[in-house]
Amino acid sequence: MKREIEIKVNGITQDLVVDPWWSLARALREGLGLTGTKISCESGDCGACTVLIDGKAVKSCLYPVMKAKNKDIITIEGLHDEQGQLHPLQEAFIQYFAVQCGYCTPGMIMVAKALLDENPKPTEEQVKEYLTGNLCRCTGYTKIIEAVLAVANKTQESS
Amino acid sequence: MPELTFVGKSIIKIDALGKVTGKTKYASEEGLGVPGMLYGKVLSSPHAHAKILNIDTSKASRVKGVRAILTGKDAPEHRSGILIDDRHVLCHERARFIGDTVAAVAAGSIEAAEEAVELIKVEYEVLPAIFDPEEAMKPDCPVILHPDLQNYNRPAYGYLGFDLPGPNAHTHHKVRKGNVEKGFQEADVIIENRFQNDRIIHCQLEPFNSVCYPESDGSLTLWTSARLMISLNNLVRDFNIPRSKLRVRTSYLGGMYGLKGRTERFAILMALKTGRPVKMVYTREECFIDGYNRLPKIIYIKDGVKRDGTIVAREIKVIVNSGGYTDYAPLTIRNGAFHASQYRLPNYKWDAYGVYTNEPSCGPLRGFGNAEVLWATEQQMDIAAEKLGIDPCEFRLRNTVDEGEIDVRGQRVHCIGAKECLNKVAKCIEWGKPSIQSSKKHIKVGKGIALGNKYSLGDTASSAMVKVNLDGSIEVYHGGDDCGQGLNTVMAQIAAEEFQVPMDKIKIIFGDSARVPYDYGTASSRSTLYIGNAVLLACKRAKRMTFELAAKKLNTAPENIDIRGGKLFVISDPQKTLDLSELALGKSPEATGLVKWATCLEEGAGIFGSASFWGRTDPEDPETGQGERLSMSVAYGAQAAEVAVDIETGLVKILRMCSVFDNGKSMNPKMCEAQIEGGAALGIGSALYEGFIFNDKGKLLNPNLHDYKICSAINVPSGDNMKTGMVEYPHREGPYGAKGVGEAAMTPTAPAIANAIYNATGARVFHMPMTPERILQAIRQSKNSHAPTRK
Repeated sequence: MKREIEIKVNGITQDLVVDPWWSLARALREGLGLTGTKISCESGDCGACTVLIDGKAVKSCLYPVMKAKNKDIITIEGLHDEQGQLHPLQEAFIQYFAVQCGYCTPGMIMVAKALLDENPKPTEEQVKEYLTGNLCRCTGYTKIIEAVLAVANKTQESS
Repeated sequence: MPELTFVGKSIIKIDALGKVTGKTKYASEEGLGVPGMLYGKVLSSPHAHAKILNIDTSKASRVKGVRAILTGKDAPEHRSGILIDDRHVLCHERARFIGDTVAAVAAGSIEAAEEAVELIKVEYEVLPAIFDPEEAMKPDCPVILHPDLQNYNRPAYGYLGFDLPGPNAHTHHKVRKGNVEKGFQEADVIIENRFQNDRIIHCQLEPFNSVCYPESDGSLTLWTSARLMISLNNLVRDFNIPRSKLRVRTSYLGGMYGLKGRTERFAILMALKTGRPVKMVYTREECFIDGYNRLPKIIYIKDGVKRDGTIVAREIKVIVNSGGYTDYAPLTIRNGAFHASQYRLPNYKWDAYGVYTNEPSCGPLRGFGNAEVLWATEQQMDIAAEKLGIDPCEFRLRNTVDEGEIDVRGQRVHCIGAKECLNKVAKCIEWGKPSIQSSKKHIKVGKGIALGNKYSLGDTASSAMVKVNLDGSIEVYHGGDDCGQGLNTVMAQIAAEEFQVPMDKIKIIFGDSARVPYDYGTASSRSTLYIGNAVLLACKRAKRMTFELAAKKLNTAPENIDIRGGKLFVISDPQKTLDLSELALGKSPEATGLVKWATCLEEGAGIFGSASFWGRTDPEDPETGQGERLSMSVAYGAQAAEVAVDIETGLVKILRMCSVFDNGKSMNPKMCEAQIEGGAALGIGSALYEGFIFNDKGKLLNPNLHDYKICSAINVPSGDNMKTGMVEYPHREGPYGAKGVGEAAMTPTAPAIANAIYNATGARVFHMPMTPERILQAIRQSKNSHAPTRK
C-alpha cells in the first residue's frame, strides 16, 4: 500500500513513494538517499536522526513521514550555503576535534543549529541542557560543547 | 630525535569532513534500497534455559516474501568460539539465555521477516536456570549449561583451565608471587572486602549490521559494522570456509569500545541458503540482549599493609559471570590480573574463575577485565591509606613501581609515567585542599583520586603496504579499524612525516580484506604501536627504493638523498633536486602517450614497500602466571574527581575531573585528549548510571537507551572542569616512542569517583554502578555521615 507524497527537503520539493508507516528518517535514508541522517535507537532517546522541521530540531525516527507534507525539512546534507561552504558549526566540529566515530555528528550539528538559531548567545550550561537529548559515546561531549560555544562566540564578535 | 613536521601535531582528522557533512558511508548505508535485497530477522529464546524440542515453520513460511527460514539444523554442525568452541551459529537443541538465537528468517522486506518470525512456533522444554555465579560455580550445582564442556575444542585456551571447581566453571586463571600467608602475618593492618559490578554494554551509536553478497564465483562479500580482520578471523572458523572465499569490507565504524558484531553470521547463513544478498540489522534492543556486555565480577580482596605505608600482601578471588557462552571471557578474566602491574606487591595471589550462567554472553569492553578489578583495588588503596593515616595519593606514590623494576607478573616495567600522572592530577584538582562545601546542608562535596593502567596484548602481528603513485601521491594499506579514535589520521601522519609530503598527498586504503595485508586488527590499544610500526617500516622501505632510484638519476649514492616538501634532493648538493612525482613517473616526464607509460615500466614506477611488525610475548607459567614478557606495552594514568553528593537523594554530580595518562608520545595531541575525555565519560557512565537489570527469570528489563542511561552532556564536566594531560616517556618499541592509550582512559574513572563519594559522605559503595539507591544505602550504613577531614 505505497503512497506518493510531496516532500520538501533541503529546499527541493519532490515526489516520494513511501509506505505510510515509514518514519521520516527511513524516508530520508531509503527514499531520498540522504543517509547523513542516522538511525540508532528508533525510540527518540539518542538524537542521531535529528533534522530541522520548520526550523525546529526534531527526532526524525519518531516523526511519521506522512506528517512531513508541506513542511520545510533541512538535513545535514542541506546545511552548507549556496556556494557549498560549510556551515560554521560543521567547520567548528572539524577544527575542535568534536568528531570521533561520527555517527552522532549530523544529529548533534542539527540540534546545535536549532539552539543557535533560537539563542545565538547560549551559556555553557544552556548548550549542555539543549544537547541532552543527543547522545555521543565517543567524545565525552567536551569538544562538542567547545565547538558550539566557539561558533556562538564568533557570531557575537561579528554582530 | 629530529624535529617532526606531522607526527606529534594536532592535525585535523582526515575523516572529519565526510562526517560533518553526512557524506561518510557507514556499513549501515550499504545495500539500502538495492533491488532484490533480502532482509534478515532472528527469533530468540524467551526462556533463560530450555531444550528446543520442535520448531514448526509452516505458518511462517507462508508469509508473502519469505525466502528462507533457518534453524540450528541449517547452520554449521560444529560449535565455534574465541577461546572455547562453545556456541553454534544458531542454537542446536538448547537455548542458554533469553535472547539466544534460535532461528533466522530472510524475506523481501523487513516487515515480512518480522511477521514470519512471530509465526514460528517453537516447542521448548523449560529447564531450571541459574543466574548467580557463586551458586553456578559449586561442584554440585544442579543446573549444568554445557554438559559436554569437557569435549569442547579449545583453540586458544592455554593456561586457563586448571583446577576447575565445578561443571559450570570454564576458566581458572592463577597468579602466584611470594607467600601471601607470610605477608599477611607481617602486615599491621588487614583490609578485606567484597566488590561487585553489574553488566554494562558499549552502546555504539551505530547498531550492529551487515550485508552479505554471494558472488558469481561462489565466494562471499560481507559488509559489516564490526571490525575487519577480527570478523574475518572469527567467521571463517564459524563457517569452515577458506579466507579467500570471504571478503570482508568495512567503512569507518560508528563506535566500537571493545566489540561489535553478531549479525554477520546470520547474514552469511541466509545468503548461502538463498543465493541472494541479505541485509541484517539489529534493533537497539537486540544490540542490548545479544551484544557482548562487560563481564560482571564479584571480587573478594584481602590486602595486608604495614604502618610504614607499604603493601605486603594482596589476595584476590574473582568470580566472573560470563553468561551462556564464553566468547572472549577467558582472556578477559585472565587479563584482569594486569591490574597489578602498577604497584609493588611482594606477595600476591590471584584466582579468577569464569562461570557459565543463564545470562547473556559477554565480551570485551574498553579496559578488558582490568577496569573492573581496578574499581576494587583502587578503593582498597584509599581504605588502607585511611587506616594507616597516610594521604591516599602519597600512599599510591610510595607503592608505585618504577622503570626497570620487575612487576608482580615477572615483567620488567618499561615506559611508566604513573607517578608523574598522579602528581599532575593531584596538582590539577588541588589535592590536599578540602573541597568548598555547599551552603546546602544536604550537599556534600569531596575529592577522589585513582591510578589505572591498561596493557596492550602481545603475540600478534600487523602489516602494511605503501605505494608511491605516478603523481607522487602515496597510498597506505592497513588492516586496522578506524572506529573514531583516528587511526587513519595517525597512519597518514606517519606517511606524511616519512615522505615529507603534505597530508592531502596521503590516501589511506582500509576496510577491505581483499586489498589490505594481514593484521590482527584494532583491539587492546594496539593499533598505534603495531600498525604504526608496520606503516613506518613500509614507508622506510618504499623510501629506500625511492632514494635508490633517485640516486641513479642524480648520480649519487642513495645515502646522499633526502626528501622535503615532496622534493628529493642531494644532501651534499641541495640544489640538485627531483620531484617525487617525476621520479615515480619514470625517467622521461617530457615523453608523452605510450612512450611515457613505457618508460614508467622501464624504470621508476612501481615504488612500493611492505612490512610486518610482530609483537613477541612469552607464554606465562600456568601455575604462577609469571612471564618475562606478557604484554607489549602498558599505558598508565591517573584521574581525580571532585563530586557533589546529595545525601538526601543519593544523586551525584561530577563537578570536575582531571585526567593525565602516559602514552609514550602523543602522535596527535588533540586526538589523545579526545580519547581521554571520551574514556572518562564512559567511566562516569559505568560508575554511576549503567547496569543491566534482570527480572528473576533472567529477562533484561532495560534494553534501551531510555532505561539504560549513558552519559549525556549534562552528566559530564566540560570546559575548565574537564582537564586532560599527557606525559611522554618514549616506548622503546613504539613508532616515535608511542603506545596506545584509548582503553586505559577509563580504567581509573570509576574508583576515582567512588573515592570522591567516600571523601564527601563517609560512605563507601562496593557495588557498581553507584546508583542513588546504593549510595543512600551506603550512607545509612556508614556510622558517620560527615565527611572525613583530610589531614
